[in-house]
Amino acid sequence: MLDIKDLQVEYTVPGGVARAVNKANLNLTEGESLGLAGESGCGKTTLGNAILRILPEGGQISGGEINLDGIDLVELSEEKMRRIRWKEISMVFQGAMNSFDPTMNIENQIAEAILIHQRDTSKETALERARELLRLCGINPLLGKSYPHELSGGMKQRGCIAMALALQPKLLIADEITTALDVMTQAQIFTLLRDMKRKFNLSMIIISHDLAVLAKNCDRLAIMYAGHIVEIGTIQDIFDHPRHPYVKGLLFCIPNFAGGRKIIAAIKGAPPSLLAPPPGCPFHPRCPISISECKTAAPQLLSVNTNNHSVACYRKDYKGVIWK
Amino acid sequence: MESSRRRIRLQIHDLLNLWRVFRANPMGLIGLAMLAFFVAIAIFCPVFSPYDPRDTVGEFLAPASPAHILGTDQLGRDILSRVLYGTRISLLVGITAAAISVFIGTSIGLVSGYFGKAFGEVLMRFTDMFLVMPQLALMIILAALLGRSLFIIMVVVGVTSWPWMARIIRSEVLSLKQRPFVERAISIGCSDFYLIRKHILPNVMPLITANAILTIPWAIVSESTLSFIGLGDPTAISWGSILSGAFSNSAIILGLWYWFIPAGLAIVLLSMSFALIGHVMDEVLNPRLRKRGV
Amino acid sequence: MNNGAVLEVRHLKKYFVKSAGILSTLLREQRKYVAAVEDVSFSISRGKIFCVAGESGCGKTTLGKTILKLLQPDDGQIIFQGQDITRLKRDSMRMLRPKMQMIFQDPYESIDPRARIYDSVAEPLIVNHLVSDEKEKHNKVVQTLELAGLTPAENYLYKYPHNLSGGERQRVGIATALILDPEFIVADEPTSMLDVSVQANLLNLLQKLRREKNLTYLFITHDLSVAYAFSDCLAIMYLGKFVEVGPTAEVVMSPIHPYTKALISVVPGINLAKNKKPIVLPGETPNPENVPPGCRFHPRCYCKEERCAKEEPVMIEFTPQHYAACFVQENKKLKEKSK
Repeated sequence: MLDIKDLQVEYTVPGGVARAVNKANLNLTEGESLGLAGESGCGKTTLGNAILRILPEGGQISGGEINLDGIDLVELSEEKMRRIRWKEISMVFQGAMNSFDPTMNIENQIAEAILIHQRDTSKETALERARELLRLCGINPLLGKSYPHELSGGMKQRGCIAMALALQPKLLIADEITTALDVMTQAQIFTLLRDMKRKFNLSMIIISHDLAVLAKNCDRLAIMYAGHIVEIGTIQDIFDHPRHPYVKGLLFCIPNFAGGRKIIAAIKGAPPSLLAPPPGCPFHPRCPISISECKTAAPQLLSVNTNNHSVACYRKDYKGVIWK
Repeated sequence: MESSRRRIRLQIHDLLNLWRVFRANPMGLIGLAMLAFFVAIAIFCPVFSPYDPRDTVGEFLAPASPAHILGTDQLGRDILSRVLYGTRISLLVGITAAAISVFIGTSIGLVSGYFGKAFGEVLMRFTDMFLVMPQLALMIILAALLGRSLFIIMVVVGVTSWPWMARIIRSEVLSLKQRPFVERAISIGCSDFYLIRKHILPNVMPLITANAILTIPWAIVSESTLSFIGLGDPTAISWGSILSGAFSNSAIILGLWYWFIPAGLAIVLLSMSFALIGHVMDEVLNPRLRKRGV
Repeated sequence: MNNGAVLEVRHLKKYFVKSAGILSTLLREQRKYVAAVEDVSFSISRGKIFCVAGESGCGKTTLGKTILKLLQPDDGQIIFQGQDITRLKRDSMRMLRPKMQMIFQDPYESIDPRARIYDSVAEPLIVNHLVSDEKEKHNKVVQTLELAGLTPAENYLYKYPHNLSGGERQRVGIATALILDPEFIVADEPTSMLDVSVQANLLNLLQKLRREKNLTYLFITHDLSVAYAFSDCLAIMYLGKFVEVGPTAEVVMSPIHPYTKALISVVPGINLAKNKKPIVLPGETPNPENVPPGCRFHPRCYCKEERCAKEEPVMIEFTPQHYAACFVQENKKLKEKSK
């Protein structure tokens, strides 16, 4: 359904050109949810924004294709893209507080989204639909008349999800939607998202830095580092048989109940600057098992099994202990 | 000490960086150029000025001519010379009055913002009192009581325009007080005055600087207004008094553009130069306002 | 009763007054209070890491700040190293400050953006008059920065906070807390704004420091998996009160209170084999302005009885050192005992 080939996104900044997404390759089938993980600055939000073509000022897609059911979104005119936004692909953003206009009540805002795309709908019908969506998302429809500031963080996020589903899109992108929420509210939101996915047969891309949350809520997972997708595969494959050194190190760092009561500070150092990334594989300066090839050319994403598990690493078959 | 030398070097480096950002904005450079122009006039006007501005050098109310580019006023004084010399008064009074205003406003703003609660509220009501006080009325009263001099104008303008600054500084200090680094400073045992001096003031400085620069045009226009209505120093040559003379001699009705336009334009342009600089300074000193970077 | 306890807190209360308008003040209406911390008691022994975990609004940050006297307690006692510091005024507290320091949550906001790193780290020394000359100050700053993992320290001395990454800034925060050689540190969510790999490094550092300097920590977090890996004792806080306290491993593996059980069940884990059914509580994380009567948790509780809506349960010991406040569980325990 969604096929991204060699996508490149750059930001022009005072210091030069930063390549936020570097030759990304991803695909998504219908009804599948893909997690997009990575630490801050890895390019995951940029990738999400690029799909909807809502990059901020200074950002542009400098190469590659984003194919949605055969149509390349990169090539589309802004006019045509506007018709696709929200109707085919919609997004739920991190700062729910910023997604709503504080001067309008929420049912009107959702209705507005509907009316913009379906001009021949009456205002009353749109409002009805808005209330129905709110109800589906666990908000009492009578609260539709509330203003954003009257709702809690969790409710606002539900409202955002309702708004994202207003036109029944095929693909929903959720960008760090629960980072600012408590773990219980996070659980509620993801339960809602899973229900909506089933009900509308949605495909989803869930962007998060929290691997554990993605493990629970996605079918497949892609991990990014410094603009590159370094590993992609099913949840089972990634968590049980990770191949990329960075991914292995990351899984080590994450405290969890089953992992015993110790902190393993595996990976040292910091991600590279995107303005002057190191040559070859972006992770090699921090990688304990890097070899000379790693410094010359960035490795390609290559398959390691028949189940769509791909890794971009020259040492993907290394079996020893990498991180102490 | 080695470290203090290094600090000085780093400080210079920082200032150069600020200059680089300032330079990038054409508005600021235009403002700076205009200001430089006026400052040059103020300093070198004895050289440029064709006549002594106080002497009667020609016919009364003479029109613009090669001898008197801007004509002469009702006492036969060359208007061009008067306009050139007027720069001095505007700059002097403008800057001094603004300085007084900034000093009072910042002090009150800092203290009322930091010491909050009852004391702060009282100070704010006091500020409000001055906010609504009519500048004109106060000026008239003071002029009547103390006489008419440049010094009085500076003081009056300074003392009636500080409330604006006080409010801005107070609200910034209130929000700074909440920030975690202030909490940290308290948790390591800093006293109130140390906090204000080392943490609050440096963080409020960008706001003070930018607003101080923006106070100057207000002071210039205030002084011009007061001179225009005749409350200024009668012996001082001010753009306001030139306009006053033009008005009372029906220059507008008679179409004597050379009398009132240059002086008026000078007020506008000088104010604008400070406004442009102040606006860009705000951006330079407050990194958040700059264009997006990675 | 000081049995090696660095900190003892007894029935601590901290209220905030709901802002009243002029009219109601004039009419002398009864002021409305929001109890951020309501009757909290616990103690921390030397060298231990005591963790307070809970969701936003539960009062954990307020608790941490009140213990350090950054906020004035309204009732109860705070006993630090045997001394009752509850009523000490700010001036008397200044003598004690070096011994009890805080690490703040936000690495972007907790260091003065206009001060160089050297000055920020040296400040505690200056303010407390602990160094006599420039050389001594310089050495102490360098030493502390390196202790916090910022090596070589020379590279960081004259930089500004915005030149450093989030992890580095947090290390500066730790250095500022360490330079006074404290014995007790309150760490308020020190890693929640950092990436997971940076978090691991920082927590490692904190553990190393505990070992080397015999520090005692009060660690505040909303992340139970971090609490599990890092702390010795764990207290779960809800709407201003502790609902469960005990050794960390026990509280996580054998939770007693329904809230604790629910919280633990929804924490996502990366170990896929664990097949826990998550207990997703209905409703919102509550607001301390609206405290329900009886047990504070009862409106969202999935196993309550009549009594829960009327009376507030007290903390009782279920297993050695493991306490919880729940009527239903209490009854269960009594039933089992009588069997």
